[in-house]
Amino acid sequence: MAKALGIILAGFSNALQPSAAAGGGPAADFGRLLRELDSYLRADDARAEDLLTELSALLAGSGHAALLARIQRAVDEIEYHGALKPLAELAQALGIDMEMNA
Amino acid sequence: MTQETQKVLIADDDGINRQVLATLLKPEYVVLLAKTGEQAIERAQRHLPDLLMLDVMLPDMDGYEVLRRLRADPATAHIEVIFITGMGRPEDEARGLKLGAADYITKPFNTTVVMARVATHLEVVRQRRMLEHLAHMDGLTELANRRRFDEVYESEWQRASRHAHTISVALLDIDCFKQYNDHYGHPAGDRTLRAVARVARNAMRRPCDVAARYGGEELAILMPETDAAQALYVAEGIREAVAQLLIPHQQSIASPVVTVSIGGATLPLGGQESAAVLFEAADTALYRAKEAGRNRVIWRM
Repeated sequence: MAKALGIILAGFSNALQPSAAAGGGPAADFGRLLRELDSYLRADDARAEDLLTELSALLAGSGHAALLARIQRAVDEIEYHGALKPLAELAQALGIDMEMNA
Repeated sequence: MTQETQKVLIADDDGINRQVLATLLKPEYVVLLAKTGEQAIERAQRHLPDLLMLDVMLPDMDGYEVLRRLRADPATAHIEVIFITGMGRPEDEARGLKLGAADYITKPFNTTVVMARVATHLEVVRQRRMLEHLAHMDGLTELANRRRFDEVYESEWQRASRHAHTISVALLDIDCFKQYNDHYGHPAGDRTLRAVARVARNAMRRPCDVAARYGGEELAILMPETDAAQALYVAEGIREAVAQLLIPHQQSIASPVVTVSIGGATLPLGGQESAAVLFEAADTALYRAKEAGRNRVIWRM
């Protein structure tokens, strides 16, 4: 619960101050997060849900709400593989190479 | 045997129940989720979880039907199932247990009790897997044993026949091993056998390749979807690598060091030979390799 609250608070803070990725800054953490999420989604691993919560908080107010909503819908339906395409589109929008090693 | 994190599949159409269970289990296990019976069956077939926590009431089919279908499929028949349900009547519980469920938990559940029961059932699964592993392994060489080889050989041969794939099988025999044991003693013989087994195991590049101890000093090697040229290359590699161990063998008529003879055979694409005939062909090739002077590979193409 405390962790979830921390993520949400980080999201609020992020919404007030544009994120590094949204501002074109270093994308290393987003890259790691997206690649890890991609790997959990491919494995049907429920940890994908935690990472998606984290990602959504970090990208709050960044203009990627539509893509995040598509990923969230697939995850809510537990059709994780359906989230891979919008995730790839999100990675592209953030300028992140999903092929790199995490 | 490496100990992997165990997998638990939670199948429940109630998102809150799913999340409560997932939150409990994620720190200890890999958790997979499903909200329908079809999803549960599909995830079970794809991931072969160690444990399925199955809600009795699912939107598309009930949990009993999910369990019945899993039990009907040899690949998923062994998956341990715990029913989780709001139906607390003894006859409901009895029905689940009769179908082969390991346990029955009624909602609302106590999280500590759920964790304890999950841990108990997963420990049983872990111990069963370990026993299965030991039952399939040769204690001296830690290769697959003959029984395991026979099982895998039969299923791989059937797969090859069904899909018109090639399959190669080889028999390996340590040259003059009786004389080696007589001269250097059985402990030294055991060490040599283990060293040869390590060479054979290291030559197996894919998970489907099997090196097994087939008899006293005889190993069997199975290489599915491998043509004769590739299999011969692997066998030659093993023969050379064993000779390169440079284990002295003063009593060998083939070489001053321990060597092996290998006979192999390949079922060609669309071949009609039975598994037994193919194996006999490899055995005959081994005999010929020994007759021709040992320390060599002979392959029936």
